[in-house]
Amino acid sequence: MSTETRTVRPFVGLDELQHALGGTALRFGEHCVPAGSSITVDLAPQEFLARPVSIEWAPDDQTFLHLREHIIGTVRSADLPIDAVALVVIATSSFLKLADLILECPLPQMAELPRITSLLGNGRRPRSLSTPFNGFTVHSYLLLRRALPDRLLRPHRMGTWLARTDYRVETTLGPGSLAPTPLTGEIRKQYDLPRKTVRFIHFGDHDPVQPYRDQEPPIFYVDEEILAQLNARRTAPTSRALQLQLAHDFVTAVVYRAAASPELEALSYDDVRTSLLGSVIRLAAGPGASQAELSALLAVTRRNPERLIARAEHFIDLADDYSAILKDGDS
Amino acid sequence: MQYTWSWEKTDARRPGMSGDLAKIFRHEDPKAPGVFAAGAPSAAATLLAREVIQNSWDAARELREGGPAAPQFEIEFRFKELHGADKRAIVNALDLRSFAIRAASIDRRKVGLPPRDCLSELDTDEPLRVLQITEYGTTGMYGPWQENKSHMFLALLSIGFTEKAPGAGGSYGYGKAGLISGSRIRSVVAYTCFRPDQREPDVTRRLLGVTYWGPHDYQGINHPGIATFSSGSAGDIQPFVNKEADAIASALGLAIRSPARLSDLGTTFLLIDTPIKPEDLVRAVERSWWPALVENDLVVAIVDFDGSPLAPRPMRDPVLRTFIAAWEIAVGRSMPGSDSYRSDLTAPPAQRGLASAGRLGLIADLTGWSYATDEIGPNGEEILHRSLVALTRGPKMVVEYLEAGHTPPYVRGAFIADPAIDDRLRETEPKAHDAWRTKAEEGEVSPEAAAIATHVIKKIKQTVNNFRTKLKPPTPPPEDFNLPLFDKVMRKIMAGAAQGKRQPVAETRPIAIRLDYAPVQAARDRVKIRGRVAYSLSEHFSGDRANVTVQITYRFVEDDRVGDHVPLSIKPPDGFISDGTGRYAGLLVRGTEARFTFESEPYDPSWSGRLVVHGELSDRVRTDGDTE
Repeated sequence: MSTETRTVRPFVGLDELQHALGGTALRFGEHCVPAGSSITVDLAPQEFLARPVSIEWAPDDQTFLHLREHIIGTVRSADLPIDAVALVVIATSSFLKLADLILECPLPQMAELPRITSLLGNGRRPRSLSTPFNGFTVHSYLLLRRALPDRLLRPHRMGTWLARTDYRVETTLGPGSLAPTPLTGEIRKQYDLPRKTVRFIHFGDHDPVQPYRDQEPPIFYVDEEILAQLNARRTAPTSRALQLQLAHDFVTAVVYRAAASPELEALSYDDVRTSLLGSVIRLAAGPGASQAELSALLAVTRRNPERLIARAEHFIDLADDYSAILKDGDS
Repeated sequence: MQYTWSWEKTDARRPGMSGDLAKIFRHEDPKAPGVFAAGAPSAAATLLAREVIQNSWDAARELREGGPAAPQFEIEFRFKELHGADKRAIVNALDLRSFAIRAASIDRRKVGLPPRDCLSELDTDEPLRVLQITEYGTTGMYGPWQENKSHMFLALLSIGFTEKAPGAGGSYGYGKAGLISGSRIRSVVAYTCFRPDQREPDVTRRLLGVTYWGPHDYQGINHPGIATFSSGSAGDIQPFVNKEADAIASALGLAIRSPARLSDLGTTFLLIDTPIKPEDLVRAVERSWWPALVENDLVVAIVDFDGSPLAPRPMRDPVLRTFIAAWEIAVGRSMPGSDSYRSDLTAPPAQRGLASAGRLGLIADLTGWSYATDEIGPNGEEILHRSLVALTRGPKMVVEYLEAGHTPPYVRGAFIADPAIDDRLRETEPKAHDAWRTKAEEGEVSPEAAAIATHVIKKIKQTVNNFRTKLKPPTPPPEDFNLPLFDKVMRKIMAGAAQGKRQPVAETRPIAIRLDYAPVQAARDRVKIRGRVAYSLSEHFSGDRANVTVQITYRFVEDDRVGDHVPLSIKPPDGFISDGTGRYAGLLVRGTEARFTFESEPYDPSWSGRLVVHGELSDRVRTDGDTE
């Protein structure tokens, strides 16, 4: 299967600009987050909060100069006044549901903008960047900072973006685990489950291709007796292997449920990025995966979900714990 | 003069209607989600309260639209126990003994009669229980009888017709099931008074009795089960009119109505041998109609068998009080605080220019019912607590208490649909008007209406979930989790945080796609997208020819997500054939391109779109190679 997806803006003459920010990157301490990508950091909260955050507009001064010239030239050739366009940086925290306007630089003032621009202002860290348990997203835009006369196929409303990209920093401390819930007799009755059912993932209204935080999370039920045993012997090889298997079962359920979604056909990776499926795709893609690879795995979900599950299994790393119980048992 | 009932006869030459209309709602118990499982009113009382008030309220709203002098809409449910001469008067006037004789010779269960009812007690000292429903401030059931335009005909004798103004609550066709539920012997008498119609200037009152039994054989003749009490006969039903109607109404103990008085316009129903309990009806009215009661749009009076008044007062009910508090927030009379929330839901994408889909008010009680744990109601009912939102639109009846979350903290809310989408939402309602259906159904729910309902329900659930998330206590610290390995791996999964060596994803696309497109001006203030797509076999496909299926779609982007489809006009290359669902099938040959051109319908230039171009090897026929 081959798929190409394009977002079509109702403007002409601005195509060149759409990718103008594609060469920028976010610096989060020692980590570099290229435009349009994300990283997951494993940091203690105090370390997360101590890290500087900045945007590197270009790798060197000469390239930065070219970028400025390119942006201003394209805006002029699109017949837009350059003082009507600004470079804007906004940081958002989906957990805190807030957005901080960090930078607004009209194009005529771009020459004064440092090539590497700190996002921490005058020492006061924005709240959106102070989220060690849930991470943040930084968005860069070229957008209209004032309204222009209404012309067809030309941007004119204040706030209309001409180019944009984002950089995401996720954290292993969030968005939190999904703790198993004891599967009791009452719950079996409620969901019409037979007596020997060991695990059941109740999605309810949760749609795994929709943003996770906008929905009630699924409930992962595990037989109360087995859960108690797993708990009591949590470090024993069998318990470890079963814990990993449960996690893998969860991934399997998410992938099959997503694959059955009639909406999936029309969605791009960016659409599902903040969903459960997006998380599973990133997991299955592995560290350092490109946007193209993530998109390719979304296509795999549609046509061959078993392959996505198999890739995810690699990163859950069941093999060592399986081997341990097969060789030695719990003795 | 003694009048009697005329039983319709089955006639194979004419389409027939079974009298067993109550079947329409059988097996459709009213919904009582979450906390409403406790003390739920009976199905019959709920059906009566919803359907009868809805029809009367629609007629009242129609009268109001006719002029500001319309009196306040009121509806009275008066329960009566008739003894002695009073009972005999009704039994004689309505010739109920003829029913008793007929019922004795047929299978009662088959025609929908209960094992015991008043028909076996007509000449005993047992009282006859009737329910008299009197409405004031409505149009009455007007319309010329001979042209089948009479609302009395629609309300009592037709089924499936909807002859109501836009925005009305229901359809007359199914309203009669509410009346039938109020009579054990399924007999309804309606006495109505209305303004003269120029097509029938001399008629201002009508009275008609209808009995709805199931099909049965009686004295060797098959009957569909409909009997009418009229001045006509079977096959030629003619309601009593004017003075004759007044005289019979008077004999039945009903107050006479005069068309000269605006306050007398309306209908009085008499339901014989009612199974409804007054206090049950009070609860049903309160649960379904509290928005209209709170807004003083209608006055509902209920009079018990002993003559004592039982006015519905939803504020007395601690559960309804919470929904009313949410309503007050939604309408803007109360300001939201720390445990409440108000939101104007974004309008559906198809409703250009509409500011909002409606208003939603939400409340919580973090020290009380938001964390309710009681699982058994006062009468032993099982309670599955839920977050619930009362869905309402123009008529201010609660369409449904929408389940919007099944874990604590539970919240409660009221949603008021914007009038601009009222008719579309009504279109999605099933016959019981107790849901907004989100799936299009041919002949019932258009795709546009289903899309609006889907949008509204989705936005309500999203808003409820966001509000609940704000209310939740912070996530417990990691050390509280009991399965450390499971917890660690699940965190990796939820964050999509893979660790270890990079594992490249192989490029396996068998079909290469070349895409060229641009937005262009379509009309003075519209744009469209025009473009070309070229498909060819890629280097990852090993053969030289392959059957393929391709698809090109274009959809609006709303809130960074895809929304409505924009119709495309697609011109395929020779050899590619449409399957009628937007897909094209054809043969790709290595070294050549299959070139499609496309153009969208004009659209509002405010919208961005998402162009998605697919190509895949055909499942049915593959030739000369396969990448799988």
